[in-house]
Amino acid sequence: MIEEILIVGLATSALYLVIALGLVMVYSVGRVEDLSVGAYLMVAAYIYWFLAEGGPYLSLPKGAAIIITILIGSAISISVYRGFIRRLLDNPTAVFISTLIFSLIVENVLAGIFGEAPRSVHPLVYGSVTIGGITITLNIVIILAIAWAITIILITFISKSYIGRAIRAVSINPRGAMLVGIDPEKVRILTWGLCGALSAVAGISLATHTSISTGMWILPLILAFIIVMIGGLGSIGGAILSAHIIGFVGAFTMVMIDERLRGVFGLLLLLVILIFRRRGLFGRE
Amino acid sequence: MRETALKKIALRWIIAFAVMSLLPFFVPHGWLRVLIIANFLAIFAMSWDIMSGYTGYISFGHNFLLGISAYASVLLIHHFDVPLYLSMPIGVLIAAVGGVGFVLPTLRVRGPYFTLFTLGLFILFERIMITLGPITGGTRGLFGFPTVLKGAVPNFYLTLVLVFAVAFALWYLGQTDFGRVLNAIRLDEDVVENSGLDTTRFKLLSFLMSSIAAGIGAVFFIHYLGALCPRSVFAVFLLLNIIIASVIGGMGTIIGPFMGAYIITIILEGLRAVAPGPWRIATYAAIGLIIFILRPRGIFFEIQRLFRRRR
Repeated sequence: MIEEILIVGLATSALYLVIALGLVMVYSVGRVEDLSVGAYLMVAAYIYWFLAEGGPYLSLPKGAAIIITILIGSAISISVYRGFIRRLLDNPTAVFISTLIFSLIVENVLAGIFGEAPRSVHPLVYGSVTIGGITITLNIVIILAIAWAITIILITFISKSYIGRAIRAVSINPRGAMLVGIDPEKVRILTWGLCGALSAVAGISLATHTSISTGMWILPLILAFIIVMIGGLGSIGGAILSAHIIGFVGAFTMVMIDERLRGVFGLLLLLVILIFRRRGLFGRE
Repeated sequence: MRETALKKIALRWIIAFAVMSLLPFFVPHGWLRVLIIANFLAIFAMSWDIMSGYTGYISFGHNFLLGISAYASVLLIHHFDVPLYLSMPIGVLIAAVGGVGFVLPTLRVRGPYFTLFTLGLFILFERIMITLGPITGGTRGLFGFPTVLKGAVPNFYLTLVLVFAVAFALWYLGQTDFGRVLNAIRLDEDVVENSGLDTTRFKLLSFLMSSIAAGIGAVFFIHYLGALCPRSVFAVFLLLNIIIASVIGGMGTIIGPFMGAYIITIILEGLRAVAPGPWRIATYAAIGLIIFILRPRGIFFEIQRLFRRRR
């Protein structure tokens, strides 16, 4: 029981953390919330499934399918940014609404192309391992490892590399960044691309872990949104902590109480935390 | 001067009402049912507008207000045999309580935090209603409870009176100083606060009006459908319809969302023949998105500008 909660909790936390990191970065350079991350994730899941398992002509090796999917994922997020978010950057409300409408479009386009029925996707790796008396699929282990590898690489990238420092500079003060020769627009494009890539990885992981359907964008979006809010907008450390709070609360509910209540306690927690700390746990006032 | 302007405006409302009350003589019955739904959508959109369009507190939890009032009325009838004329006002009352509940987070949080708060309430309540299967009928829902009126024509007139009553009340509210304060809250809440006005009281009244209008719409809606399931009040699609109707009509104008509701209903029905299934929704949402990006202030604003220029 406890082992199961531990494994499921760790894996789901890591998965949602990856999506939340994209949102955190996008918020810090653009000061807007991109609610299409759920759509990026869903498109990636469908594209991966189509490339890897879409019939006799298209059964690319999984590695190639993953790389192409990630590239397409960031291409989509960049086009959304260049397409309309850029025009609305001074109006966060408009970004909110337009990205939500965009998600509705994506959902129905995918339903039109692939049908509304959910489809199962093969796991990335087959087999299972037994740890401490319970059996878990290797797929979950791989997802966990990938998610953590990405998180660590991303944190190192942001704190150490030249581009990462440019991202931080724009997030602190776009005008100041411009004065030292950073083009905020380029940084934003890059960040949106990264966000799309992160969502794509999460989408592939989610697809191979469960299945794909045209409604799959809503729950990850809400959970990632909650994680970012609890952690505090723009705080990576806060996102890591709150992803694990949400992940473990969710896993606990799923295993111990009722699967249908998944998410309910996370939401309650959010409402309580927002009442006591209105900028989240680590948000700047 | 002011007197004549008032007369002019009153005349416009009467003409609009008269023109629309003639519709059943020209429109086939199938379309009448579409217009009934458009009227309900208009009530929902306008009630969203007085809260979110005016104060700038974008709510993604309007379904929560619709849901609690609809469920309250239906559950009272289903379990306690409460008569319709009692259960419906109680449903509206419950919505009003929920609307006051929306004010509590605004004491602490703004912007995206408020939006997430309301979205959280909406999703939370949907889950609870699904989980409480034995009481609420779960995902299948409840049906077989009484409707207010039967037939397309009587229902059309009922919804027409409702939608005009709500539209006029909320529009008038928006024209008063009260509406001006709400607009100021959207522009800069701190400035309003610092000029000595208690913003909480204004938000309270705005949210109260919004939830009462939403509650009235919801109980009549559910007693028009005659069946209640989570999908009929908690669908994300309904939330998006409310928001799209408001934004393409023009947020913060009341009349804009009214027009927006009719426009999107006509678009959705018109597309039925051209684009099947999901493509219909995708095309409709794309049209909505394009209008919103190109004309963020909405169609009503553009119409006003057109008339002003001609003068």
